[in-house]
Amino acid sequence: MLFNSINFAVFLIIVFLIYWFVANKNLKFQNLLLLVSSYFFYACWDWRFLFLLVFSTFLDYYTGLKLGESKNQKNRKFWFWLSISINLGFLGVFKYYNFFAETFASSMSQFGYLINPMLLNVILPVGISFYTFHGLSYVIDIYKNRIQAERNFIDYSVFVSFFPLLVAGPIERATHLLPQIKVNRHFDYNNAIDGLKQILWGLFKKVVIADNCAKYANLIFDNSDHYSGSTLIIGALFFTFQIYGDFSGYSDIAIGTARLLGIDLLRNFAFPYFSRDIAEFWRRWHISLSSWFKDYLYIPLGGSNGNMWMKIRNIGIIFLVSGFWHGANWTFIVWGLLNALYILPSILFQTNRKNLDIVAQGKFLPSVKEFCSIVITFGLTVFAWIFFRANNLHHALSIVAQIFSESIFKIPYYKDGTLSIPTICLVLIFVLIEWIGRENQYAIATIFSKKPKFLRWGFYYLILIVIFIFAGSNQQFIYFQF
Amino acid sequence: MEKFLKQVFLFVFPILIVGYFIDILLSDTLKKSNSYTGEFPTWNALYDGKVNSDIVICGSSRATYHFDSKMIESELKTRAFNLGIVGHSFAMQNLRNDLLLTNNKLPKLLIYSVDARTLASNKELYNPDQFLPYLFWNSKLEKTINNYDTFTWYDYKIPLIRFYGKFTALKTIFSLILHPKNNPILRIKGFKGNISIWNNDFEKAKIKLGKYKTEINKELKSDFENFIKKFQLKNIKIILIYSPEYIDGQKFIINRNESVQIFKSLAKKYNLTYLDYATDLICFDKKYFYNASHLNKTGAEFFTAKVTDTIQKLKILEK
Repeated sequence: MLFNSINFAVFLIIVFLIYWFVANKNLKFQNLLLLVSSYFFYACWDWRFLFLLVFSTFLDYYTGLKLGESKNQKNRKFWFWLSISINLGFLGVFKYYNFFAETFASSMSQFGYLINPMLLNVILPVGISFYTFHGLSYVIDIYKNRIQAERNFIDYSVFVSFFPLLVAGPIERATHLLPQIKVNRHFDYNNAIDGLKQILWGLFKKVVIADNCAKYANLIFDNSDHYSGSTLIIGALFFTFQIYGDFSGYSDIAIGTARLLGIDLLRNFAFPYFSRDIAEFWRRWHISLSSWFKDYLYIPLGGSNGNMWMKIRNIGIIFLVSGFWHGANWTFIVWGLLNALYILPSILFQTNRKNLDIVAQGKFLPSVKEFCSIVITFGLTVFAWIFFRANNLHHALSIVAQIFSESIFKIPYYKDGTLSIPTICLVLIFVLIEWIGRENQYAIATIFSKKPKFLRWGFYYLILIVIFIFAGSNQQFIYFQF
Repeated sequence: MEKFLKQVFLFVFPILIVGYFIDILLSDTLKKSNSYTGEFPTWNALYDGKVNSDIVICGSSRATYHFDSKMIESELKTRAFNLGIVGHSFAMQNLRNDLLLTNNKLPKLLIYSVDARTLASNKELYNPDQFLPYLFWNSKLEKTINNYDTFTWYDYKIPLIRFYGKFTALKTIFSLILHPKNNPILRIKGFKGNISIWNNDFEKAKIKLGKYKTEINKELKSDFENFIKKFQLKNIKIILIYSPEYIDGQKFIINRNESVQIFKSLAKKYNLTYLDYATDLICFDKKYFYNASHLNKTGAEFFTAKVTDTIQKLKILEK
């Protein structure tokens, strides 16, 4: 059940009505409803993996209780590592086993040993990386005595499986979401209206920007051998907007949906393509994952403290793991390491917290310096996305080689190029709206908010019309595969 | 909550109301289009009861491109219409047969263009936009194309939904609204003459597929038999014609002969005329074809002349 499907709209309407009209007075009933609807939502993808989700939930719930009860440090360590091992074990088997087996076999073949690895023919359970990280953060927080173990299984299960965030985040923290699940929720008109607006904008990003860009990004990347360097740059730009529209669109729909149910989720994107340096980019891109890695990996490793080598090591590890989190492919690892290289100078020279404010705050245009910084950062990001999108490392390197060849000076040409003009225009309009709304949680949050109703509604109707006309062919959300 | 629901209702209600009328506008405009291989005028004629012909040609694109209805009319001095549908096998062709029976004056003679793909089921719904103007609450059409994933329940039942994201169709509609005269006619009475000369489609297909085997669908075979019975009950004469295929192309489908035998035996069983042009001289000359299975306009005129001549000689219309 995709967020951009009518089935989801019908599902959401039913859940919303029961949630606020039937279960309104009873928190337990509301939470049970959220859990049942979340499991139903998940089962619509593949009911078989529901058992895995329930098992993973139960494991962390039980471990949490045991950690909470144990006074003995040895016991606590045992339960802690048991949970970590099983959680990472699941990820390892479903997501990384084949990669490691193949890499091992190919490494051995370099030494003359031919190994035929036994590969698993399993599909990746949707959302496994996300709900595993929910569980991990919960267990780590209890182990570190940051939170108390949750005793109510239903409440804990809702925290792990809450349907808006179940399959692609934002990756929530028990400290943020669990308290909201434990208290009575009251319907807030402004919050709900805002949620609807955020859903609308998320839909626009997904079906208009991402799905249309996907068509040309796929065309160019899948036939990269036939295209000039200049065309491949266009392809990389299409992918840059595809992945942003796709994932931030998903996040907007998730956050908007949760707000309709009176729950606030963590922000996941904050206009990352307007960043002035890579450190700022990573504070604005997939925020819930970046901050997860920061809190549970980077800081425990020592963060930016220690000597130069420690800093380099920590940055290397965090970006390596981040790349690997996205998938079992060398392309993601190189993408992560490339970002580590980008960010390293700012960590070493302690300029990584230079741009904490919103670019050109209160002004319409950025300064020349800001503009140049944005363009350079954007260019670096686009370059890194080539590795993220390519089928394998060889593919990525051949694209890079082609880009840095004489063919970069050729006029870009690709099949149905003229048909992509509306998409390019829509992307430009989209960038403009995002720029105008960059001081808000999402771009259209305050656009026309102080204007008469007919103007405001006219703007929303216009977005709906654009979605209706320009919706691209339905594509799976990219982050579902992670 | 009350305020929220009221606002949502006020926002959505106009969409529902206006949506219904926009749906009508979009459907009616798209119906006027001659694009999409020119299928709309044929669907319109079927739904509006305007086929109104004594001779009707049915089949796939090989019917559309091979049987010149105007020529048949002038040779046989009676009205003719070609109901061939591009890219569809008997499953969809039979819907047209049904509409012919229910919505139109009954013909005297049905020329059925058969071939090795007639009884094969299509994996994908070809040219789905051609159904857009007719889908809304149309149970017959829904039943026929329900097996494909292309449309959902909402597309059939809720206004406008089926036009969602159909950029090409919407572009066609807007361009028709703005430039109604820019709508070149592609088919005359269902016939589409293709003026192209031989292209390399066949060579490309040979390289891509090597040899090709069609899977004959038993259900379609039984439907085909039922269709014959139904039309015979209405005293409509049927002739089955295997129209020309370029000689090298005939070897491309390895089980072609299986289909030929099915149609021959059906013809025998139901006492139908079966005309096979597989070895006709026309099949040996590329100048009559634009690809291995389709005649060009020259070929179609030459072939139609042969067919009308045979019909006259066999006095099929007079029997």
